[in-house]
Amino acid sequence: MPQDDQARRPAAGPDGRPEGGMARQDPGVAAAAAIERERRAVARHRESPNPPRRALAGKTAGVKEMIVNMGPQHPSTHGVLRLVLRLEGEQITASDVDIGYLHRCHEKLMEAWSYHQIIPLVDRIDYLAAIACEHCFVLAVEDLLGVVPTERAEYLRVIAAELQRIVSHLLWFGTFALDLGAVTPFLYAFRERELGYDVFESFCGARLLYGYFRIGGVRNDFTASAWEKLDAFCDAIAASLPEYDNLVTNNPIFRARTRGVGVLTREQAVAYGCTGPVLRATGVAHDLRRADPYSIYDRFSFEIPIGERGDVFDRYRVRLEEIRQSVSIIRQARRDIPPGDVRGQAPRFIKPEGEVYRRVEGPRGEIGCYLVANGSERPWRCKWRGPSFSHLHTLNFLPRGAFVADLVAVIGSLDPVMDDVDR
Amino acid sequence: MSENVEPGPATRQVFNAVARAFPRWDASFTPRGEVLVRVDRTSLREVCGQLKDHPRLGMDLCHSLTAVDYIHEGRFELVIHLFRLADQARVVVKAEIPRDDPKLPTVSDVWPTAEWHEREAFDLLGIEFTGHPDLRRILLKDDFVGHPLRKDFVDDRPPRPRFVREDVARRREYPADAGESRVPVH
Repeated sequence: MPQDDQARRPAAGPDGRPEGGMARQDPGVAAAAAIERERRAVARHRESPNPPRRALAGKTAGVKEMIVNMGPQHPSTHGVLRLVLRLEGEQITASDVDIGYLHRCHEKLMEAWSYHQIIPLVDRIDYLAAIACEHCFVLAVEDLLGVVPTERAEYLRVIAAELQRIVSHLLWFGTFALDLGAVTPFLYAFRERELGYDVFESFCGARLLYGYFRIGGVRNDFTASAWEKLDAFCDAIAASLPEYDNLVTNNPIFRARTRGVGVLTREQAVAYGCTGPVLRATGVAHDLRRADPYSIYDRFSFEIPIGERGDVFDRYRVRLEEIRQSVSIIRQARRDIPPGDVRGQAPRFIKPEGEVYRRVEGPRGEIGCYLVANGSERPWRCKWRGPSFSHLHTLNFLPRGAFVADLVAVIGSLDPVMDDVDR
Repeated sequence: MSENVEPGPATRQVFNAVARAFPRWDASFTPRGEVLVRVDRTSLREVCGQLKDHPRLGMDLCHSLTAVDYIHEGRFELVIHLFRLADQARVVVKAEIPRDDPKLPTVSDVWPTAEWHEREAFDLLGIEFTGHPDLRRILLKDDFVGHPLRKDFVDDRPPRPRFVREDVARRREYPADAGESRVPVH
C-alpha cells in the first residue's frame, strides 16, 4: 500500500535528510501515528477480498467472545504462522490458519533452474531437514534417468539422513519444552545438537544447508575425523536420552500439560493427510522406511514407535523414541558400510523425460516430490508436498474447546517448519 | 532412460479390482508401477468417491493434489496421488481441464486434506474447484494478481528499489531508536 509506506517513512528535514526516526519525534505523535497505522491495517483487513474462514465470519456474541490474531510474530508459532482465533475467555471456539508469510516461489524457481542447481534449492524448503529434501529430489531424478547410486553412497546417504533426523528432533525437543515454559531442556538439547552439526560440518563443510547429495551418489566420502565425530555423537546422544526422560518425560508438570491435550484420532489423521510421528502417535505403525522401503532401508532392523491416544504426549514420546532408533540405524550402517566409489557415474548434463512421484520419510513426515520432465535441462513442473502443510491443516479444528496455552503445546507437538509449509 | 517399474502386488490387486468393478474406467499402469485412472472432469467426483469408499479399493491417503500447465496443448492436467495406508498400493488420478475454462468439481469432501491442496492449485494455477467450501488464496497475498505457475504468467510489477550502501551509512548515522536503546533490555 503506497500511502501506508508514506506514513511510515519519516518526514524529510530541512536539509533533505530524513529526520531521525521515532526518538526525535514527540512520543505522543509517534504513538498517534502507530495507532493510525494499526487502524488502517484493520480497515484493510476488513475490506480484503479474502476475509477469514466462514467459521470466524459471524458477529461475535457481545463482550464474551472476541477474535484474536495469534502470530504471525508470536514466538510459539515457530516462524510466521498466523492463527485467527475466536475466543470465549481463554477458550477457543473456532480457529483459522493463515499461512503463506514465508512463500519463496520454490516451485516456480525449480522450473527455471537445472536439476543439479535444484539440489541446494530444495535444502531451503525444509531447512531443518535439508538432507531429507535432497534425498527425495535426488531419488526422483535418479528414477527418471535410471541411474543407480553406488553402494557406499547409499550407506552414506542413510547415515546422513538419520543424523538429520536426530538433530531435527533435538531442535524440536528443545523448542517444544521451551514452548511449555521449561528452559533447561532447550540447553540440554542444543548441547547434543551442536555435536551433530559438527559431524555434518566435518563431512560436508556446511552445518545447516548441505548440498551433499549428488545424482548418482554423494559429493564426497567421510574423512577419518568425521567417522570419529560420528561415533562420539552417537555415544553422547545415547547417554543423554535418559537425562531427557528424567528431566522432561517423567516431569509431572509436563505430563499434566500434554496428556489428553490436542487429541487427533486415527481417522482424522489419515483424512487430513498426516504422516510421520503425528500419524504414528495415533497408533498407526506406518513408516515409509519399512512400509515402502527406499534406498537401502530394508537392510536395517529398527522398531517403529507408536502411540496410543494421539495426544501431544504421544507425539512427544514417538519422536523421542525415534532418536534412539536412528542411532541404532547409524550404528548398523557404520558397521556394514562397504568400500568403494561414492560419486557414481551420472552424466553431468542431464535431460530426463517422463514423470515420477517419489516420497521419503523425513523427520516431520512424508516428503513428496512430483516431478514432470519434458526432455529439457529444466523440470517442466515440480510439486513439493511438505508434511507440515498437511499437519497445519488440522489446526482448523484441533484447538476447538482448548485453552490458548494448550494451543501452544499442540502447535509445538505438530513440529511445523514454516518454510516447509509455505515453500 | 529408465526401465519400467513392475507394479507391486497391492497395486496389481487395485488394478484388477478396478477392471472387475468398473470396466468402463480408463485404467492402466504408469511406467513407474502405479495404477493410472484417467477421468473426465464430469465423472471425477464419482470416480474419487469409489476409489476411497469401495471395499476393494479404499485409497485412504491422499498424498498430493496438483495441476500441471501443458500450455502447448491448451490444457491443464489435474494430478492426484493416492496411497492405501495398509499396503501402499498406489493410484494416480488424472483429469484434463481445458485452459479456457479451468473449472473442476472439488474432491475435498472425499479427502479433507485435498481442501488445502486445491486452494494451492487455485492460488498458483488459477484452477477453480466448484463446490469447494473455502476457495481463496493460500500462499500468495490476497491482492496478488495472476497465477504464477501458469506458463504464460508475466510478472509486470515494477522492480523493487535496490538497497544501496549509502542507506546503510545513513541508518548508522541516525539509529531509529537512539536514546532509548541506552537502557539495557534485560
